[in-house]
Amino acid sequence: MSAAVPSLQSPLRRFLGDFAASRVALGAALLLAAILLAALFAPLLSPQDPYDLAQLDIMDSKLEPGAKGTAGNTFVLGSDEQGRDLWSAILYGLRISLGVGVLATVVAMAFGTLVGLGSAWIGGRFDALMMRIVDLQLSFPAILVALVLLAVLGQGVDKVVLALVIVQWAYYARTVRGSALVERNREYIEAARCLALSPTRIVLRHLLPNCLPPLIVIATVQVAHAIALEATLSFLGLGMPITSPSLGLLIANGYTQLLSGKYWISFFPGVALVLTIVAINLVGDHLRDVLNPRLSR
Amino acid sequence: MSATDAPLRPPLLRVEGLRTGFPSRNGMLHAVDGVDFSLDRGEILGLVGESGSGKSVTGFSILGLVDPPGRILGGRVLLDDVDLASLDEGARRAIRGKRIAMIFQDPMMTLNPVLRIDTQMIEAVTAHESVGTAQARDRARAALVQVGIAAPDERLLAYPHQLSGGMRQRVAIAIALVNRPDLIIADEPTTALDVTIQGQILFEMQALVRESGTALVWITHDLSVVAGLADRVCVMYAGRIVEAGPVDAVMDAPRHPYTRGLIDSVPAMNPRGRPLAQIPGNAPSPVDLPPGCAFRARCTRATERCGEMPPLAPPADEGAASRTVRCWNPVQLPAAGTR
Amino acid sequence: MLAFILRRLMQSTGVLFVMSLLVFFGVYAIGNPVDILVNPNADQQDIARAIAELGLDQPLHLQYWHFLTSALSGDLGRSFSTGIPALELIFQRMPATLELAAVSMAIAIAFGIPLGLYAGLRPESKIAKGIMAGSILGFSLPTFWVGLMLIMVFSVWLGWLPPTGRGDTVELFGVPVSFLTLDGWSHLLLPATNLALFNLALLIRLTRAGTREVMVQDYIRFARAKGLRDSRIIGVHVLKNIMIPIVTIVGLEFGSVIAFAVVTESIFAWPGMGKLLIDSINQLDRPVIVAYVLLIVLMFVLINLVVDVLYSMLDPRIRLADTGGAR
Repeated sequence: MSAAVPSLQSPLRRFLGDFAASRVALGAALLLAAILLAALFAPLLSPQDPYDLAQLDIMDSKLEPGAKGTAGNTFVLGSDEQGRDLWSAILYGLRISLGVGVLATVVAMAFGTLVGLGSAWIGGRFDALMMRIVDLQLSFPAILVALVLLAVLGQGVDKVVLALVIVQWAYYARTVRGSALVERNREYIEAARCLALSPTRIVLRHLLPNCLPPLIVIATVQVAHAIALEATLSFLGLGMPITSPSLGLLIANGYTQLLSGKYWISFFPGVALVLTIVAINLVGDHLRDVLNPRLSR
Repeated sequence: MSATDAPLRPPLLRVEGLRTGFPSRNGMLHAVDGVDFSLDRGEILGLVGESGSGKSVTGFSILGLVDPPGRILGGRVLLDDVDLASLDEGARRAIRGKRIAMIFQDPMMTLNPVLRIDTQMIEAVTAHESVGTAQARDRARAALVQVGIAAPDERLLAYPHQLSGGMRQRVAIAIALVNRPDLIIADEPTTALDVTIQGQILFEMQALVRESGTALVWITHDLSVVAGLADRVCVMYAGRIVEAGPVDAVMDAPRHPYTRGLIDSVPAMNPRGRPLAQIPGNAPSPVDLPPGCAFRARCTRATERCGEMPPLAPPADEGAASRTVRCWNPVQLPAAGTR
Repeated sequence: MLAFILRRLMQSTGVLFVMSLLVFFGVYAIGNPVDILVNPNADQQDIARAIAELGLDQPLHLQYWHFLTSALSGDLGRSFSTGIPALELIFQRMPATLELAAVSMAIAIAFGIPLGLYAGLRPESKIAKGIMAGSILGFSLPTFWVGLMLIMVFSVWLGWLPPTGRGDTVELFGVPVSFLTLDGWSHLLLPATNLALFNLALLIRLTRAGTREVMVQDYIRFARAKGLRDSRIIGVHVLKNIMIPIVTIVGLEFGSVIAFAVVTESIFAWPGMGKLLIDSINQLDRPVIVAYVLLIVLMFVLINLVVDVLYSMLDPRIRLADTGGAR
């Protein structure tokens, strides 16, 4: 900062100010917040518990959006084959989709960061080997790797998360290694070394915080990727089990009804999915611009 | 030299009140702010100024190649008394490269890296004349020979990155010459080259235009280059011409304090042992120019009157009308009566 | 050039070797190969025979050798459900996938490059901003859901195009293709469009970024100073420069398109190898899965190789540096 213009704003205030400067990004952030809240408070917002069979009535099967059910309740977004209220199913599905996406991303980020930091710090053969693995893996599309993994591993929530972690970690490893290599040669690391601080302390307390901004940006976008990938896998019948109906599974359920014109069973869960992904992507895009002006296009 | 036959023919190029601006956050940035000069056939004009003085933008403005969002705000550019602004884009395109050619500063950047030299030379010919490829190729080859390139056939098949910087600039000059233009605008074409190559190219360029009768506008920040090359010189400061005249007269007896300072700060032009003089201060930002003479904040001769813009006119004590200066208090002639 | 290709060929062989090791360990070492390679419905006697036949009682390195030699001779086992050799089954389905991938790539190129070029040449125009907003959607919308919506709109509501199947095919050099019949086209259009969307968005962004980068270069200004027509400047000077990254990406993305065809083929019941993979996974038809994986790895390695060679041919700086040209 130039001495002539002392900044009275805290970095956070400035960050928020920059962020709010874009109306699109602000809208996306508000939408994302709404989606997160809706997922969090799904049981409070849903007219019914969609997976409590006692609350379902087969007579309400495949009702159009806005139709009234046998119990006099309104199905705002219609109902599925089993007479389940779609609005409730979507709210519950959002929880599962977001949960799986965020969990997989966090685990992948932790693992990838560890590998990336280690790679940059240790260097030599370990670095070469790790980057070879990263390159090899990134040369194959995530969907393919995930499909094959799930074909080998079988179904289950844990397996989906594992597959999502495996297809994601390499991005973080490569990014963290890249910025860690740059930071490693900076003077403050030299200074820390001169103080004879332990390598673990230097890496975690000094190196890591400076690698965070690109990491946050990637993680944001990767959550969207993970959600989309999980939905795709679930749609193909290889992802979440029926006991954990994510948005992808809801869409898959509606697929058979689509050809007979009952669009809403697939359509509305898809809209929820798309809104979530678009909101996350827009927020991520703008985060990148704000956190690193050099990267902006 | 050409002042005597000027009344018989109109000048080749006349620039009148040219103004070019770039919109910026702080309002319009006037890079060129009222430039006038004219050029006869075969004449070499040096356009001298610091970076940011608007000399390059003047060159691009003449060709109509100002990068958007920049644009020409006013004034006229007349080629043989035809206002280029009155022509449609197609007619202007037909003039570019055919009647007015241009050579750029950095030879590493001016040739397209993925096209062979022959492609880039032949297209320069066929863009203006419907000749066959073989004929255009012969012309290209001849132009390469003209600029002193050995083994032209081999060079024609080369890609730019296979040639040295000097060689690339020669190719660019050959491209400029290939259509035998009336005028070449050279935007610091030797700045990016090694000193030895600079001298060669300068010398060759002068010989080439003299030989072919091509007029040349040589844009440079280097007064010493102009001294040996040009017939006349225009000195630019902050988007305006501050002094113009025959090169010897201006170099021997600069009238504008800025030109004086410029000459005093060139090592080669100073007698040995005398300390180099500096112009105090920095060039002003073209965004918020104060009214009046733009140089007055740095000028030792500034007076009250300098708050008002001086015209570009022959100084009162000057006999020759070919010299003009934009100053209320021009530097005195060194020893009156010797000229 | 030859040295370059040879070197890349050796690298590719290395990658294939590593991948064969990975698949081998995935099948033989991590899982129980008997489960994976022997039909679960087989009786005890069959299993014993299969174990002996596959050499599963031998040491691991011999097993790998056996796996490698039989894979190289094209023997990847037989499908459990049909009894047809796995490789043959995949080769039967491959033309349909390749056709779908090629048509979708053609759609992406035919629309992506002109739109990206326009957006790059007039970045401030309303149309350009619309194009870019559309490309963000193309990135964000999940392929499978867009596929469903295409079926909903064009098949169910409008009734213009059939939702599933491949339609009439004609033999071309002994390979059945759809794109030579009208009915085939009507079946091809929706899935190909669906598959093209991601790459369409990608190409728009790539072309736009490349165009903007190239347009401010001195050589473009010099080309204008030469008096070239805009068509020549854009068609030759700009396009030839941005073609280098575009060809690279188009080439590399062809592999992704084949991979993503898995999704599109499932939605539109397109009888390609992607649908075969999903069906095989659902039926636990493991030899087919293994064969598919090995084959797709081979395809990716080949695609990478071809792209690298193409890239070096397009960029004179690389081409000549490698042959030790005058530098």
